[in-house]
Formats: sequence, structure tokens, C-alpha cells
Amino acid sequence: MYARPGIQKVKQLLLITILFSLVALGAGPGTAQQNEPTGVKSAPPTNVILQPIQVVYQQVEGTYLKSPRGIWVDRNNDEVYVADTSNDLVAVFNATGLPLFAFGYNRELKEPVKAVADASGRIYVLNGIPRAVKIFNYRGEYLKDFPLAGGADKPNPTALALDHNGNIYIAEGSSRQIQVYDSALRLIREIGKKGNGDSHLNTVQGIAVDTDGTVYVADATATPCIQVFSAEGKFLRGWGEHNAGPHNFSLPAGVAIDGEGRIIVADTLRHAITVFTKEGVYLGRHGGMGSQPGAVSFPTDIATDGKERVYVVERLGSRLQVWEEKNVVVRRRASAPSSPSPMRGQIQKGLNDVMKEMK
Amino acid sequence: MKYLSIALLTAVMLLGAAAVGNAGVYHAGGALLCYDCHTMHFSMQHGWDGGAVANTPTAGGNWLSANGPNHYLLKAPVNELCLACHNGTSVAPDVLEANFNAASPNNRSAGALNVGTAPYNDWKGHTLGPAPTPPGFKAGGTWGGDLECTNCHTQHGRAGAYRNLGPRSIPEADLSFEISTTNNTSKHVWINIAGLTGTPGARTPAEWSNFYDGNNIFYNRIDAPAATNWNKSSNGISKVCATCHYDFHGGPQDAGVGGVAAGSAWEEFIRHPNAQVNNGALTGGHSNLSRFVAATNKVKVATVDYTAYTNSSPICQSCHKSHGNQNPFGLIFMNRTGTISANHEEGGETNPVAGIRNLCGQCHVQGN
Repeated sequence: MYARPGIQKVKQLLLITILFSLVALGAGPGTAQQNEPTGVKSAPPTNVILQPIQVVYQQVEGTYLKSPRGIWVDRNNDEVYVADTSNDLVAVFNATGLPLFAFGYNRELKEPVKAVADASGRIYVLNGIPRAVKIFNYRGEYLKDFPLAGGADKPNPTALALDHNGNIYIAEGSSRQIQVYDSALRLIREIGKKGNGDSHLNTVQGIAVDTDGTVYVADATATPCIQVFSAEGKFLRGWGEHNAGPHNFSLPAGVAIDGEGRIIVADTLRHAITVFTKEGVYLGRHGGMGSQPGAVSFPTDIATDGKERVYVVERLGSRLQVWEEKNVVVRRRASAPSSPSPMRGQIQKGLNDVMKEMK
Repeated sequence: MKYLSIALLTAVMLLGAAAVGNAGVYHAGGALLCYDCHTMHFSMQHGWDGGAVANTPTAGGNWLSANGPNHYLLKAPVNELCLACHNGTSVAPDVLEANFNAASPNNRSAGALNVGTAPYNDWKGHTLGPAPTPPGFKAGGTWGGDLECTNCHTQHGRAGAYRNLGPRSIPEADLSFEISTTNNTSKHVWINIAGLTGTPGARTPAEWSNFYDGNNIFYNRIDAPAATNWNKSSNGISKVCATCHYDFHGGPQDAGVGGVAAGSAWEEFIRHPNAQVNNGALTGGHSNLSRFVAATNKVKVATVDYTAYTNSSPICQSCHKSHGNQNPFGLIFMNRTGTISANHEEGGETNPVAGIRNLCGQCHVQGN
């Protein structure tokens, strides 16, 4: 018995099509480190498993999280700040997710996006409507609006962060720069510039500052999506774009740095929590859409305690999840963009064999 | 080699189709990825390591079975997907409640759909999700029971249609628009700005706010004012509204307007007409053109003469905000003189009685 030539040709055609597609996509398990940033040294990466330990729905007694948008961990006090755009409240939890208190009941806030607290207990809240940064005391009592520096256009803050020295980082949409203020609220630096490409920012969604002052920025529409700046504001590197592939993004909404120096990004539309090395080498992704612990539904922000806990908030999931990190040694060298993976090699070999047979 | 060429071409086409779409507006594929909203292999509903599929369908989802996936392999229910970008982010114009991305100088984004609670109650305009049969729904039609963004907007983009409006059964030419400082009267909508700045998909609120500012939006009257074609709308945008609210326009002999079927001229209106009617053209004080022209603050009417407003005709958007606002039925309570609120949504009037009087008083003299 033998196949008719016509059918055989069709089969070969189909096989070649699939193989070409796979090769072009760089497909195959274990080839997730495409599009790595160039010119960076790669340390042997340590991957991580994120294990859910707590799922929190309650905001304070009697009220529940609705559309939690921003999360931040006060590492001095082991407290977690969650801004909820539907409740118009900022809720504060302990490290395991136990609700402590909330503020904004006096309608000082409308669609708050993010809240951070400095070492003195002063709380800065990025307010959605109108766009402003509001300052509260440690009891959640409104003090004043942050005196944002602005040009011709009204300041339009889109993201907020704090570093270990108490400096405040505010992404400003009109100038498309990140403004850095000291604890006396004086503008000391501006990072990034308008446009697209390295060091150009468009719509900053998240900022995280490492202990050495390195600034990591998640931008939903700029390329690269993740941009890294030195403490002085010099562009260092970047990675990821709005494109297919697990190392790329659809809507990067939050960025955090864990205790091992890994960069963790929450992607709202991909329902994914993606982990990279500091250099931008893709390590893995977590989540997946769902309502069970460990899955996420439109994650909007992420934070870490710098030790072993990762906190995720979900807009549609209406909850806060506390995950614990378990380190895993990556056996395969994760930073070898030029060396083809074994799977890719096999696909290429198969393609060569089929082509030889057709000739 | 012929087969190889075909195979190569097929592969390239497959990859190309997956990666990019046609040029045009953001949703047409120039920037938005298929992958942003769809999951090709229903791989979004479980862990990346192939763990258990979620057993609780997303609320409001249109699931094909108890465990999904959503129709069209969407990652989530339609409205939730849209709101992921269009609610409370700086990435795209905000459509829910108050304007999240209000930016100078005009303080406009794209809001404000209602959310069911004060001050954006259900009865103050359009609310996404389960909804009763729309007022004026065409007799004999079937209402699906849900209001989704895609009822009015084409999710895959429509470069020639104002605001990506649909459904596609309405010809794109009937929803045409032009962004220019010179009015092209052959287009249904004129956006009176020099042009959109910024990159599609990467615009800041300051860049897109002009595109949504009521001060810059004008509706051209496309039909010739004549005592025929009573069903023809003065402006194509009304056709989008008429998709559901059919019985709100038409002529005296048309069941759509609820007039006297046997009548040959305008009879008592059961519905307020927005087709083939001219402001101030009828005797008896129904409407007064000079009053409208004299108003400092005007609601939008369909016309091509933005000075004397001859042959001007009301359209749905003359009195209603499409996405709703904080007023009953999304009405525009615009006082014809004096100060109005910056974003035009509430018209600077918080008293509904006075608000409705102000709105009617734009064109009508009775009681004013």
C-alpha cells in the first residue's frame, strides 16, 4: 500500500507550512527567551514558583474590594496599601492580607489608582478624577494636594512610586516624563522623554525602584514596554513590546522587584504575571484567567515585600491575592539568544528532511 | 519547488494575518493585537502550566459551556474586555462615569456610561450589561437582553466611521467624519480640529481630549429638507440610535414616529421627530429659529449653516449624551445663556425641572 502522490504532496505541503510557522515563531517549549535585550550581561537566573497563600475579598469589615487598581507594600511596617477605583477608598492590610483600616470615606478620593506611604507615615494617593496626587497623614486624613510641576498643560499623573530614600516618583502624562521629588516635595529630576524607542515614554502604568535606585518603568504603549533607568535617570536598557509572545505584553499595568531582584510584571489583558531577570531575560509566567487561587482576572498591579511575598490585585476578580515565592534553579541556560533551542533544531531538521524528500 | 513556494507563501500569510491587521484606526489592527482580546486555544482559562480549568465562568460572560470558553474565543465578556482599557486607565479614552482622563484644555475623555448607582443611575442613560427592552424598540424585533459596547461600536475598527460606530449594517458612508478646520459638508460629522496629534494607540489624554470635546463636534445635515423621505434621518449618526430606538424618528405617515397614519402633514407627535423637520419652519410657535440662533450656548443640531442655522434639524445627540450623564435619560440640560459646565455633560444645571425647561427652551418658546 502506498499513498497517492497527490495526497502525499498535500501532506508534505501541510507539514512544511506548520514547520515554517513554528520555526519563524521560534516555537517550542523552553524557548521563551526571545527578544532579549541586547548588550546586557546575564547572571544565571533563578526562576520562581508563585504559590497562592491567601485570597482577600474583604476591604474592611462589611465592605468588599470592587475594582482594586493599585497595590503597594510599605516594607517598613509590613503593610499593604490597595487603591480601589470603584469604592473610592484606599484600604490597608497587614502582610498576610488581614484588613486593618481604610480611608477616603469623606469623599476626598474619586477613583484612586495607587497609594504609597513614606517612612514618616505620610501617604501619597494618586487620584483618578481629577488626576492629582493627594497627601494624607498616617491616619488617612487629607492634608493637601501634591504640588506637581507642570508646563503649559495641566499635570496628568498616571503612576506613582516611592524609593528607599523617600523620594517620590510620579509619571506625568502631559510631559510623558517621570518626575522625581524629594521628601520635601521639591522636583529633583525628570526621567525619560516623549516619543517611542529607548528612554521614550508614552503611557506609564507602573514604576518600581530598586534598592540601588535603579528605576523600572512599565509603559503600556511605548516600545520597549519595560524600560530601566539608572538612579540618575540615564536609560540603561529595555525589553518587551506590544506583540505576541510570552516575553511581550498586551497591557502591562504594574511592575515590581522581588527580593531576588527579579522583575515581575502584571499584564491586564493577558491575565498574566510575567517574571524576568533584571536584565530582561524571560523566566516564566504565572496566573492565567480564572477565579481560583493562583489564577487572575484582569490583574491591574503587583507588589512585593522584598522577601518572599508577592501581592496581586485584580480588577474583575475584585480581590487581593498573596502569593509566596519558591525559588527554582533554572537548569537550562536562559540567556542564549543566538543559540537555537533543541526543539527549534529538531523542527529545522525535520523541515530539511521534507525538503530533501520533495526534491 | 512550486509546492515549496506555495507553502512558504501560506506560512507568511498565516503569520502576517496573526501579527497585524489593516491600517487605520487603533482597533482596525494597526496597533491592537488579535491576542489582546482573543485566546486562540482557550488557553487563558487555566494556569500556564496546564492546570485545572476555572470552573466558575466570569459573571456576565457568554460561555459556550459551564467551563467556557467565551464566544469567539474571547478572553472575557465583551464589556469587560473593552473596559480593561477604556475605564480608569491612561491608555485609552475613559467611557465609564466621570471622565477619568480629563485633560486640559477641554476636560473631555469619552464618558460617561452609567454604572447603576448614583450619581450614574441606570435611568440616566446607557448602562452596560443586562438591560430591559430599549424604549422605542422596533415592534417585532428581538432584544438580546444585554447592552454591550459592540452594539454601537465595531470592535475591529472602522476607519471611515465616526467613533468606530456600527453596526456594520449601517453603511460606513452614513457614519463618515472628517477631522479638519474646514467643514466638508458631505461628511456626517465634522471634528473641527487641525488633526489628531500623537501616535494611534499611544495618545495622551491631552491629545485625544480635543477629539471628544463637544465644542469641536458638528453634525452636518445630509438629507435635503423636503416634504418627502420622512424616514430619512437628518444625520447618519441617528441611525446608530435607531438600531434599537427605532420608534423615535420618522414622518407623519410612518409608524416609527407614532403619528396619525392617515395624515398627510405633521400631526400630533407621539415621539419627538428628528428627521425631516426644520427648526422654526413650522408655524404656530412649535419652534423658533431666531430663539435658537440667539442662544449663547447651543445644543448640537444637524445643519451645514452654523451661523443662521437655516435648515437645521434636531438629532438624537441634540438632547442626549450617547454614553449618558448624570441627568435623566442622559439629557443635556443646557442653559441657552450663562455659564455651563466645562465638559458639557451636565450643562451646568442640577435642577431637573429647570434643566428640562432649559433644554426644550433651546428651540421652543412655550413656557419660556
